[in-house]
Amino acid sequence: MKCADYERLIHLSRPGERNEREEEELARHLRVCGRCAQLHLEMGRTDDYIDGLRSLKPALPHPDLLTDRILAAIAPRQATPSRARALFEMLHALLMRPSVRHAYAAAVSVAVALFLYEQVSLVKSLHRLEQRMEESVRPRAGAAVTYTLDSHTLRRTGALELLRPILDPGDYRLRNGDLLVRKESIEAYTSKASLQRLRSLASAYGIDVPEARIEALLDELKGAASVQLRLDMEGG
Amino acid sequence: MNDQDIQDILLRSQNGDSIAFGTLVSRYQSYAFGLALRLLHDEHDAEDVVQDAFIRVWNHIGEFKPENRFTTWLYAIVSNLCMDRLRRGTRWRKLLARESEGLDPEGVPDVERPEEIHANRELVRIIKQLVLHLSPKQRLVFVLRDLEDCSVQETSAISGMSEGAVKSNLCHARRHIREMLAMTYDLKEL
Repeated sequence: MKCADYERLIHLSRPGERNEREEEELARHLRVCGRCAQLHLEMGRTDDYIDGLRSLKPALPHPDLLTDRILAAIAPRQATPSRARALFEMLHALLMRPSVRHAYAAAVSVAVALFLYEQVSLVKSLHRLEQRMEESVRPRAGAAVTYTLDSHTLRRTGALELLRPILDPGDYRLRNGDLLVRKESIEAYTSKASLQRLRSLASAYGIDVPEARIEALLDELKGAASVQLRLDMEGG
Repeated sequence: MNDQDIQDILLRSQNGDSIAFGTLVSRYQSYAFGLALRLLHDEHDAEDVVQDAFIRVWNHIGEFKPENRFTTWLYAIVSNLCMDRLRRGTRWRKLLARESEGLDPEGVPDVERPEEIHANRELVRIIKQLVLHLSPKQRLVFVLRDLEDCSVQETSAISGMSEGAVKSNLCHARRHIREMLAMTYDLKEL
């Protein structure tokens, strides 16, 4: 190597800048070359000077103010987000656009209107259904309505035979022990004559039915045309 | 603050935690400022560079890999910003303008911290004299290696030069500085 090469090594003076072989070669050369040895000495002093310079640390004038400036500058921005976060933020930004928000409001208004319309329609339908049911239950003029005369006493004493004197065979039928009487027959049975026959018949079997009670029951029977009436003769 | 703490802060910053990022800024801004001041020789320019550097860090923090050293990445950003300024020559045009107007290059002294101002100015004055005739690359490797005490490998990573190029530029820079000192002082007497 020439002195120019050693001069390069002399300027690579800090630890780790020369390899072991370079260190050895330089050391050998410095022992024989006065000029390079003088240069090496000067470089050592230069290094000392630079070491002193390195120890002087610049002081940041106003650290807190600079931090605040930096944070103020980054505040409106977002850090590089994760993919999921980026997707969320993109959707959020999209959904928060005025046009999209107006579309929301319109959609919600339409949904609420449809819901209310449906509720009103339902209420109306229910009302109509109730009216129809009421009409179907309410007896039409001349329609046949059957009333039940339930009496344990009648059942016990073989009511069919006993009632035959006052009931025409086509006006009644027996189901599960109940006496089913046609409405048209009721009008005839509620006459005074029928009442007296029924009372006499009951008396013949030891059942005392006050006349006032029978009249009240018959009035009730005539007045309640739309409901099933259970006439319990056993209680008198 | 140990390495694990720094990693936690970096992770939180990557998740958009600006408070954690504030901690990171407080921790490293003085280092960034030191490098910028040694390269640019102007406090205001150095502060601007530090601000720009941390904004760049915030914007690209998702790209930072935990296996790397944060200081290396930060120094690389600061160095790049400083080199851009030096290449654009704005600093020198500004200096020339100030000097031609007869103004103090460092502006109006801050009366609240005269000692710091004096120390910074003295340091800047010395470094400026030493590196005045160095190329931007020579100046960068000298500041990184000799003043910031980065290793050759770190200097290479920060500057983007090969280790050979770092050593070559370092050699030129030290030769020049040695000669500058020899002209100013009698090195034999130092």
